Amino acid sequence: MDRRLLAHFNWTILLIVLILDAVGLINLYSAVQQEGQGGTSTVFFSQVAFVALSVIAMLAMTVLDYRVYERLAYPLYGLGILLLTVPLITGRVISGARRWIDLGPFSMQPSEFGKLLLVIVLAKYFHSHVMVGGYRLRDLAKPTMLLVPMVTLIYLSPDLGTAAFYVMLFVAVAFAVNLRWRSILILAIVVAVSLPVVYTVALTDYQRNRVVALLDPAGDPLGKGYQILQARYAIGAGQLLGSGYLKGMQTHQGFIPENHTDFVITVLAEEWGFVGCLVVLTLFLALLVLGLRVAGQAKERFGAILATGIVCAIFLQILVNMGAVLGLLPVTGITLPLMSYGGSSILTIHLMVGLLLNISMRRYMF
Amino acid sequence: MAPIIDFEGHNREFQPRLKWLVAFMVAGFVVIACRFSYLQLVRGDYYVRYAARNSFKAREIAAPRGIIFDRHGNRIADVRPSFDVVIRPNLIRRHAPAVAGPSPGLDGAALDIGAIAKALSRLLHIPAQSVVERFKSATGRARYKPVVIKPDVSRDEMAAIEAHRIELPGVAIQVGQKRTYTHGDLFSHLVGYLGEVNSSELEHLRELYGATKGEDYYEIGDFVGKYGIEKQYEPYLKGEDGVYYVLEDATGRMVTPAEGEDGEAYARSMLAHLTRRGRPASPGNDLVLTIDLELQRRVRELMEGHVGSVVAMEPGTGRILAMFNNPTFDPEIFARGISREAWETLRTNPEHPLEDKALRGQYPPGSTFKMIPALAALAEGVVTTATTVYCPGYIKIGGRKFRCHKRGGHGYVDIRRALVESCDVYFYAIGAKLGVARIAKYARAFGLGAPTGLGLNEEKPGLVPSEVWKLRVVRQPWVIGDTVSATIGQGYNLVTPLQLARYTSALANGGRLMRPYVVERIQTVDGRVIKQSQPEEVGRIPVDPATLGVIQSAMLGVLEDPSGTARRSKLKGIRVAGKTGTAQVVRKDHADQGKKPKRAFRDHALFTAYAPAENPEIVVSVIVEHGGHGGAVAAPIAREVMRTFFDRGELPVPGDRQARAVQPARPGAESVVAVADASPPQD
Repeated sequence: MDRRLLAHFNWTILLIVLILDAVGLINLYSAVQQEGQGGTSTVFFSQVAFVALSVIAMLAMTVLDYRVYERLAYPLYGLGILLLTVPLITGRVISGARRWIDLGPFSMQPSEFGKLLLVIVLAKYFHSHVMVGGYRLRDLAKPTMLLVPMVTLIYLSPDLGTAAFYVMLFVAVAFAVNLRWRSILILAIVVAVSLPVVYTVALTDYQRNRVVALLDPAGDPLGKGYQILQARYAIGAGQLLGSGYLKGMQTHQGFIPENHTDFVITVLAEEWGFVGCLVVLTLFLALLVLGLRVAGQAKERFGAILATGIVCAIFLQILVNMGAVLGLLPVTGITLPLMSYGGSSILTIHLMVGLLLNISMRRYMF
Repeated sequence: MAPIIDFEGHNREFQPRLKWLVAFMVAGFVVIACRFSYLQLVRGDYYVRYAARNSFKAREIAAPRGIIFDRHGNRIADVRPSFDVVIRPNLIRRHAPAVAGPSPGLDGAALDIGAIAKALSRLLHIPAQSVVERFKSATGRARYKPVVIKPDVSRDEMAAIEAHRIELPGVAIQVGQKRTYTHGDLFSHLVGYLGEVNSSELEHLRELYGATKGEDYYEIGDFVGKYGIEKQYEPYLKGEDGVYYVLEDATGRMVTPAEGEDGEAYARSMLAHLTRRGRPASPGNDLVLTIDLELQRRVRELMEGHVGSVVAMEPGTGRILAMFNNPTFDPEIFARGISREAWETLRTNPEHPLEDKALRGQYPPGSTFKMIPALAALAEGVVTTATTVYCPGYIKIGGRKFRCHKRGGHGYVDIRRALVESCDVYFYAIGAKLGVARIAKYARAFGLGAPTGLGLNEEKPGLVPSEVWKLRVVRQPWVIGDTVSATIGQGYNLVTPLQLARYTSALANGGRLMRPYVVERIQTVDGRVIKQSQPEEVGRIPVDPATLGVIQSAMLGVLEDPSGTARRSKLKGIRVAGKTGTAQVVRKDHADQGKKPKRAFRDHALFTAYAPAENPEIVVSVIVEHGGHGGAVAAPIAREVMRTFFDRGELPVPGDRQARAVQPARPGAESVVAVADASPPQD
C-alpha cells in the first residue's frame, strides 16, 4: 500500500471504535450472566467472534479505494433488495417476524446491511445528480424510488421500527446534501399533520401499545409498560457510580427482557452509573464528530456524502435506541451500535467505520 | 470554530449542513445525558431503594414422588409433606469477617457459616461439621438456592428454628415432600429406598438428564432411589420441582410491596414477570405393581422366625405376586441418615438383612432341580417311563459310592417314583448316562445360570456348571462325580429363589419360559397409562407335552401320593403339584453360599410348587436357610401362601376356578411315616 495512505490513517477513529468494542464486550459479558444459570452463555462467545471478525473486516474495508463502491452502487443496491426479499420467502419466523436469513450456524439480518447499502446508493445518486442551490422536494422523487422498495420489504417482514429508521436515514442524508430549508419546513408540517393519522390508521395494536407504554409505563406495569419500567429502575439504581461490575441486581435477575440486545445500555447504566454512561456517550459523540470531519475533509463529493450518511446512520441508531430505553421514544427494536449483541449489527457498523477510515486516508489522494 | 469541526476539505459545498449536523448530534446527546442524570442522579435514591435492596428469589416447590401401588390399588409407597431446615448461601458469609462491618448489598446482618453451624448444631442436634460440609457442597450452584441442612425436622426443632429466626438470617424452613413406606419393612428389598444423592450419582444423573431437563433437575440434597424399584424406576418416579418467586429484603425475609404508587407498580411488575417464569411442580408418575399386598403380608407372617425367601409368581405371565426376604430392614433409615454404628450392625448381621435374597441369594437347588435331569432323560431317550433303577440305598459310579438319602433304599423305582420319593440313586444313574452337557442344556432352557431379566438389584445369575466352566474357574478337570452331584442339584449348581419360581412356572405352563415382571404399569398422577407391561415369552423348553405331562404328574404325586415327600402339605379343594428339596450347606468346594462356619450347619429347606395343577394360577417357591427338610419346613409355608391366595379368590386372573375346585383331592395316607427328602454327603 502507498505509504502516504498509512501516513493519513485516522488512528483516533480506530482507537475509539476499539475502545467501544471492548466496553461492549465487557458489558455484554455481564448482561448474559443470569442468576440461576451457571456458566457464560454462548451469546457472549459468539459476540467475541463477531467482533474479532468485524474488526478484521473493518480494516479490510480500507484496502480498496472507496470509489469502487460508487461504481458498484447500483449492483450492490440490487443485491440488498435481493437479500431483503429472501427472509420473506424462506425465513424462519422468530418472535413473529421474518427478518433473518438462515446460514446454518448463523443467521443474517439483511436489514442491518441494508442501512449501509442505502447510504451508498444515495451517495451515488446525489453525487451524480448535482443541484445548484440545493434540492427541492420534487428532486427527491427519484431517490425516493430507491428508498421505497427497501422500506416496503422491511415493513412486510414486519419491522416497522427499522422501516421508519430507513426513512429517517433518508431524510438525514437529504438534509446533509442541502435539501432546501423551505422543503424541510414543508416536510416537517406534513409529518406533524400525518402522525395522528398514521397512529390511528396504519399502526397495529401492538405498535400502538408501545406508544401508550411510552407515555404511561406505570399505567400497565405488568404488560405494556413492563420493559420500560424495568429499564427505568435498572438505570436509576445505577446512581452516580453504579452498583459495580457484575453486581447489577436488575440485570442479573433477568428482569429486563432483551438486556443483551436492544436494552443493553441498562446493564451499563446500572453497573457503572451515570459516570459510565457519560464516558460511553462521550466516546460515541467523539466518533460521530470525527466522522463528520472526515466528511468535511473528503476529497470529492461521493466520499463526503457517503461519510455523512454513515455518521447519520450511526447517530440515528444511538438516538433511537437510547431514546427508547430512556423512555423518550417508542421501543422500535433498533440495536445500540457496538454494544448490543448481534453479528449483523456489529459487522455493519464496522464496515461503515471501515469506509470512514478509507475516505479519511484518501483525502489527499488522486 | 474549534479546529475539530473546521472542515478543511476540498469541497465546501456541505460545510454549513455538516455544522448543523454537529449541532443536532450534540443536542441529541445532551438530551440523552440529561435523561440519564435525571434518572440516576435526581431520582436515583428512589429507584435504588427498590432495585438494590429488595430482590426477587426463586423458591422451589418440591414435586411429590410417584406413588407405588399394589395390584389392587393399595398404597405401598406414599408421600407426605415434610418441613426441612434450609440455609441460603447468598445470605451467609463464607468466613468470619476479619473486620466487622456491613457486607455489600446486605444489611450488615449476615453471619458466617461457622456461627450458623454452631447455632444449628445446638438447635437441630446435628454435628456442626455436617452443616459446614453441606454449605460447601453447594458451591457452584446459584447462591440464593436453599441448601437442605436437615430434612423432615420435628415440631420442636421447627419451633426452635422459628424462635431464633431473627438471629439466624439465611436460615429458613421449607416445605418438602417425604417418601413414606406404608407397610414399613414389608417391601424393603423389592421397592427399595431413597437416600441423598451422592456426587458420583449426581454426575451420572446429570449426564442422563442434564441436557433434556436442565442441569438443576438433580441437585445436591435431592433424594433419589438407591435400591429396588425406587432405583430402577427413578426417572419415572421423580417429579419435576416447581418454582415460584418472592420479593425478599436483604435478610431473606419476604416483603410485600405497598410503598408509594410508583414503587408498588414496579414491584407488581416484577412479580408479574416472575409469576410468568414460575412453574408448578409436576408430580412423578405412579407405579402399579403386580404384587398382591395381602399375599405379601401373609408371606411375611409365615416367614417369621425363618431366614430365607419366598417368591410367588403367575406361571402363565411371569407376574410376581409376592416376593419377600426375611430378615428385612426399615427402608426409611437411609432417608433419615443412618448412623455409622447402625449401618455396621446391619451390614455385619450374619442373616444379611440388607441382601435381596430372592434375586441375589444363590442356593444349591437340591432336589428341586430333579425335574430337569428327569425331563432331559426322557426327552433325550435315555430312559422311558417304564425304565426302572434298583435303589439299594447307594450306587457305585466311577469307583465311588454315592448314597441315597434313604439309607435302606427305595427298591425298584421308575421316573415317577423317583421324583415323588426323591430317590437320589435313580438320578445318579441317569445323570451318569446323560452327561453334564445335556443336563446343562436343559437347565439353561429353564432360565438357570442367567439373570431372569426382572431388572432389579443387579440380580445374580446363579450357576449351571459345565466342563469348560470348571476348568476355567476351579482349574480342575470335570469328573464323573461332579455330574452325579449336579444331577441332584448339589455340587456346583446354584439358583436364586426367583429362578426357582420361574423354572417351576415353565414346568407348570407347558414349557414357556416367561420374563418375570413386577411393574404392571406406569401411569401419570391423573391415571393416564404411560407404559403397560405385557407378558413376554423369552424361551421354550424343547420337549413335547406328553413328556412334560409325566413330570407334572410326578410333581402332583409329590403332594398326593401316599409316599410323596410333601404329602402333608396338600390343600383341600386345590390340587397342588410341587417338589421338595433339601440342599446341603457344609461343603468344601467353591460355593460361598451358606459357608460361614459360625452359622448353623443345617441344610437349606426348599419347596417349589404350582396350583391348581390343571390350570396353574400361582407358583410359590420357598427357600428357608438352614431350615432342615424341605418337605417339613418349606412346603407348609408354600401351602399357606397358596391357601391365602385361593381362599380370597379375588385375583383378577382370567380362568374358571369353580370348575376345578369341585374335583375331589385324593385322600392322603395318614399312616405313612414322613420320609424326609435329603441328600447325603457324596464324599
